[in-house]
Amino acid sequence: MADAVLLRGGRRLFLISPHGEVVRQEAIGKDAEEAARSIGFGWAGAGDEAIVRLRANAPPGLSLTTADPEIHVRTAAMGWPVTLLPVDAGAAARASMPSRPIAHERAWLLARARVEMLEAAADPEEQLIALAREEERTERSLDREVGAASAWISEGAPTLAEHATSWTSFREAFARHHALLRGRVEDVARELVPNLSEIVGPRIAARLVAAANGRAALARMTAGRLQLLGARRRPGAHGPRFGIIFGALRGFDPPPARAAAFARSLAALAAIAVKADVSTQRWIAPELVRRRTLRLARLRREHA
Amino acid sequence: MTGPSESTGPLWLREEEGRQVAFTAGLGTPPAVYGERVIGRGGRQWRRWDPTRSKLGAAVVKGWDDPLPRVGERWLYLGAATGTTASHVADLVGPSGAVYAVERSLRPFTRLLANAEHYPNLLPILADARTPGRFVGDVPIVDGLYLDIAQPDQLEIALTNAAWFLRDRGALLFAVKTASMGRERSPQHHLQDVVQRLESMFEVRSSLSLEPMHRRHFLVGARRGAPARPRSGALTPRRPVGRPGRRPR
Repeated sequence: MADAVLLRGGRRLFLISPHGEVVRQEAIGKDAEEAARSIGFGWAGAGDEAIVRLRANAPPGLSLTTADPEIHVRTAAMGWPVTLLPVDAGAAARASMPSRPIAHERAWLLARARVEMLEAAADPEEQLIALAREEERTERSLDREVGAASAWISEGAPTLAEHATSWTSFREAFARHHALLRGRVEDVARELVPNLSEIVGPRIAARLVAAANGRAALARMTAGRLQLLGARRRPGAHGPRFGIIFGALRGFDPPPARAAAFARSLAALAAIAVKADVSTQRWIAPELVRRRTLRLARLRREHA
Repeated sequence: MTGPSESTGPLWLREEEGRQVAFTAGLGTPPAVYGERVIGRGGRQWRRWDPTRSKLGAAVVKGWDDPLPRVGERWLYLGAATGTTASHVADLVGPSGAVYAVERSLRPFTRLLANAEHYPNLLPILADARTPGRFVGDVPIVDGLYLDIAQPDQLEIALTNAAWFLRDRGALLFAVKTASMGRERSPQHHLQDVVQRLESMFEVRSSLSLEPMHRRHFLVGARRGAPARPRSGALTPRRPVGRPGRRPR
């Protein structure tokens, strides 16, 4: 004899008889948001409660299956044996589920998407990526505007002279905003990738993480890949050479003829640093900094 | 110039300066989703389908007509990104159909959600297409599967999700990015490979190169199940009863 099937459709749990009829159903949570919170994060609370209610009201003596791996895990944790159907049989069972109006599905899925997006965005790593991109964008536009305005301010163009005061106050406010962003980016970077921040500076570290789309992705990269991260192919040039790492060189002032050599060394150290940040989380920066200093001294000697 | 009539479906093709231009009847309020041109004709808002930004859009202006999403169907869209193509698919299935748009990356998903908030039948799901078990409770058995994922395992993702969600004879639209499958072999070689491996589960109906709008991309159209061929002397149906995805009519 075929078995009854336990399934979820939106925020409802269904118990479907071997003949394809809905025997029982239970709503998860009192509203879509509560259900979304429960289902998105391990069925905590409302999801498990709905399973308990369904179990209490299920006709006795039914052997149960499900097509939903998450229900399988939850019921197993409750000591309720529910067999997981193979994919084909599971799809056949789901085909007999009652169809829901699109407006209901939409309300449920929008609620679930909002909850999960907020939760995902609260992840410190996502915050670092968002902050790093915004800080970079702000820096670029501040540089551009200040550069453009310096032309007419220095020449004291008479037509625009009366606007100089309001421009200055705008520039100061904009710079304050940028400084705030910068401070936050640096704090979060020192927290999340301490070794990398020590080697290339926290702001460059944040940009590297953002360009790689995550710490783990960055840690998997080779030094060569990391060195070219953020580089763009320029028309007429032979290939991309100057990536985000190159921006970190400014603070070290390597001899210009050996700048690229230092960029390669820095990338190699950065690749080691980020691997330590992600996997062992050991504080290895002092040793890396020592090697960076040695390398810089040697390049200066060679050049001199 | 002839405009769309009352009986025109949600897709309207016309010629502009010697080129085919596609429009779909927008369902959102406001109709534009990604800054595309919108023109009002016959009481409907027609959204221009930009072929350079949408692979299906490129195929449609190159004459693609089968399979395409049809009115009233439910489609599962994997790799929806910000919802550019997904919104046009939502137009094609109309208010009685629905598009379940799966995107895993947070930043495009933020835009997708914002677009879905003003689209009646575009349903966003934040999930990885590689793990259909995570959204099996949210997506019913569907009439069509659209897949646009630039990943080396895009073919496996297509086959897995078809097994979970696609009904028998349901349509597959597969935007194949051959550059994601390695550059050692030519795009045509990759395409051949894809078609061959799809044939274990699908009847492949058509494939089209999307040059010059999308380099090294192809669109493959298929239907689930073996082609319906009458076999002499066969008394039992070819397909086993209870095959996944069969819908009670």
